[in-house]
Amino acid sequence: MSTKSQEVEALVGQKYRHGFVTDIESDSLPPGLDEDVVAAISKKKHEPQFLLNWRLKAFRHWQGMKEPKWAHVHYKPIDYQDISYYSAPKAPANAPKSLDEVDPKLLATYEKLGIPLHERARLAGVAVDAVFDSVSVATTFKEKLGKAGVIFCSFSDAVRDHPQLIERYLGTVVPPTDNFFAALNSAVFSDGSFVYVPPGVRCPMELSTYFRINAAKTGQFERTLIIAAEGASVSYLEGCTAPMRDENQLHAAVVELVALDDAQIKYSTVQNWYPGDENGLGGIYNFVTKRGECRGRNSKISWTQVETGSAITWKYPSCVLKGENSIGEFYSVAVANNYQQADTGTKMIHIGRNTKSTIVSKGISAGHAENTYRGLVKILPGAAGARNFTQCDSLLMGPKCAAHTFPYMEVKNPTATVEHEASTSKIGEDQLFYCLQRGISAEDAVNMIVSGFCKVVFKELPMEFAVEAQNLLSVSLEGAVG
Amino acid sequence: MNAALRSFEAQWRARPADALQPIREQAMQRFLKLGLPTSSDETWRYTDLRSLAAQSFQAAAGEIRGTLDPNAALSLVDGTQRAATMIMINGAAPADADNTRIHGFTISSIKSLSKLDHGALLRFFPPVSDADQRRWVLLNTALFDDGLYLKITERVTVPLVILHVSSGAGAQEAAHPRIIIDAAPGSSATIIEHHVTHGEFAPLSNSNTHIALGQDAQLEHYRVYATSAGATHLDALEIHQARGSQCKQFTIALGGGLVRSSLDVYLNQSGASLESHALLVGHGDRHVDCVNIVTHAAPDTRSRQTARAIAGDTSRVIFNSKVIVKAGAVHSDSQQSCRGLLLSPSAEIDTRPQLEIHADEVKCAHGATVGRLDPDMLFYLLSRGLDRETAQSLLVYAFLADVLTGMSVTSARSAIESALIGQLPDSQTLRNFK
Repeated sequence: MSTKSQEVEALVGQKYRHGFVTDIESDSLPPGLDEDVVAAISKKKHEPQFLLNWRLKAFRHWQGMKEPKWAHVHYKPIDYQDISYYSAPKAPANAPKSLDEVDPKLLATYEKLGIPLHERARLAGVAVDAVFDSVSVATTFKEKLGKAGVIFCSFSDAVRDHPQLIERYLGTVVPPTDNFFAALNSAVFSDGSFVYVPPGVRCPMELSTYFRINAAKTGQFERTLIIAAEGASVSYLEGCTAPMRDENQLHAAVVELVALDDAQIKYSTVQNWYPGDENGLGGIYNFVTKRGECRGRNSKISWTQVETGSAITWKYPSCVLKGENSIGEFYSVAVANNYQQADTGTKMIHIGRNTKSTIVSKGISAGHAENTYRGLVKILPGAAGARNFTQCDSLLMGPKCAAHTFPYMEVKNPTATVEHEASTSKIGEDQLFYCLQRGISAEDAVNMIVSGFCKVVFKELPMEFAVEAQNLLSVSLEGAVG
Repeated sequence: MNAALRSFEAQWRARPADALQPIREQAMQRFLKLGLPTSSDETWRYTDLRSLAAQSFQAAAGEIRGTLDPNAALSLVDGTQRAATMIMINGAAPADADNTRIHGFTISSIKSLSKLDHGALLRFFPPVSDADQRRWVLLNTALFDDGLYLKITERVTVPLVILHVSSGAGAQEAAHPRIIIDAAPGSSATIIEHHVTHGEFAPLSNSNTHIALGQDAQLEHYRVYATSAGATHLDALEIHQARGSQCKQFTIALGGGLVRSSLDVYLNQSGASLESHALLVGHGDRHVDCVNIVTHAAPDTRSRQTARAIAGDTSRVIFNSKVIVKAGAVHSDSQQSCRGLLLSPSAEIDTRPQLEIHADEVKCAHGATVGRLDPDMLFYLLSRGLDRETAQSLLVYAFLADVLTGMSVTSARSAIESALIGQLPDSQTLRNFK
């Protein structure tokens, strides 16, 4: 199709809108990693002994591990000794108690991103635990949540105030020895979010955290732990943008979800980190381990993600379905443009009886990008009556991009039913023609068709994010007709 | 270095040099460097060769102990249909290969061709590859004693049956059968490779078939594995297709203890089309691992893959299929359909239908399912008065019929059908019903 290829290139070549750097003094450790660094991080955060031991154990294990090579992505070797493993905005001696006390420069950063923290948070009824680099800066709506008994705080606060919960649940879903990046994270994680919803409580509002990566040469190692006790339910939103930077930045986060009997967790992500420029220079390496465990019967964990950023994405939000009748869901839109590489998908491990999982993955590639879906559905012998449905569709825009589908299905129980469907195609010329002849511009037509392609995932997003996701998609792809 | 590797190296050192020495040398060095594939190699993920690696192998002799049933070669075509036959024992080409006259074919042993037309032969030895699904081909290239070269010269209607007989004098022997099929432009033929065992011991069989289809050539090719329960069979098939050529390929796993079957197809020029059918039957404690890789390397190429897998008892069936669409191979049209049926609580089916696509104007889709018999269908049959056993057998049979109906050699089809039914639960009921 030769429709206005120059126009298309101009649109595809849009610069990253959220690229800027805020000058805030950082309190960083020098680059490098050894046991002293791990101990220093732990000490800076005044952690109890058990956590230090836990970190050191993870670190020792990590030293014996090799970086995995199986993903369908290519990048220059990472020098783990050239990364600074701790960076916190230098706050005045006494930490801010309200938004008014927060560094105005920081607030201005959020302003530029279109997140008027106090206003938007109040209007949207969202509690925002904004993570700037690695330390929580402001937490809102704590009181309202406190009344309901919900604990929603930064990970370091949780370590200080609820060490017994941390000790009980940390690393039980993603063990510190799970994989290379999870082990690294376990050793050096700086901060993150912690949520505990007590039994029978329905969290009164959507919980949200905005992650940003700032300070040059800083790897960010978030750790998120969400626990929904018996009969509890919670919806957690995570969104990311990052400033423009030429040097690759490593991000190796770990997210653990635990759902006990009859509990529900909905985890939504909009990820828009700096994807590198149009020549593939720079960008974030997003190597994340996300896993949820449906521990109790009738529990449910649902992952929804919209991935438009990062130079390399390596991410498989998974569900371990242990409890009887538990449900796992995965809805994903992954967009890769220019030289972005995405290797993403999910794992559904069916252990309990009558467990169900649904996977819907939509991949869009444009430019020279590589977009891979990689998913595992594993039915263990005890998972009688287990059910899985998987659908993964890929949309190709342009002759130089690539889309891959690598599903794995391992079935060890004859009463299980596993179904997988996949298709790969470009935007139909007939669809485009239909829109054009009705007076819709090529650009709007493509937008419409792509939105339609992703609709089934977007409708799973909470309201606030659905709008943001649509905008992100337009920015990333507008008019990218091949 | 494990025992198997050491023994293969010893065989390599012991064999005299021949005209293919440079190619063999290269392949052997690469094989020794890479070693046997392990479960950390992607296409060997579900097949464990550790017990094989611990054995040491000797070359199997190209002769048979005892006498072979003279009609064995025709068992698939049951004598009613005219068919030409050739017999290869442990990979050795028949002694009179060079003098065999079959209408529409030019036949010779690879050894004598290498003396006659060395240059022509070389094009059937692709450059050594590190790809793990081609690991055993390296060993085959290095160690095959002699093989069969078949040139299809015109349009042949009579099917040609090649009977591969594995027969060992003792345990721990290995054979490396090699066949080259070269279809001239415009030719057409049907070739059936039938793998059986004879006698008490079955050597490890590491077979390789290389097929090159000329412009507009047509080939219907069958691989039927009907070896004994203890046999280990590693089989690799490679097909290169030129403009407008059509290939219909059937892989039928009915026997063997460990069967590893790979298919590599290269649709090199536009208009080439492939239809691949696989019927994988897991029975007893059989392990069947089937890996298909289809590469669309030119525009307007077409591939269809159908696989039906059944696993009963404690068997394990693996079906891997990958479609690669190279950059520039626009208007490629590819479909994969893979369905698995689990008949026992201790059986396992693993499947990986993969797409790797580097071009935008393509139509690629795949579907895969694993499950048990549809309870609704079963109910329907029961409600019409069939007893449960019959209903189940009927549904299992219907599940397999998709692949069987595509076969144009009717006698082979009914022979395979009958052998299949024999391995299904309640086979007697099904036979009576038919």
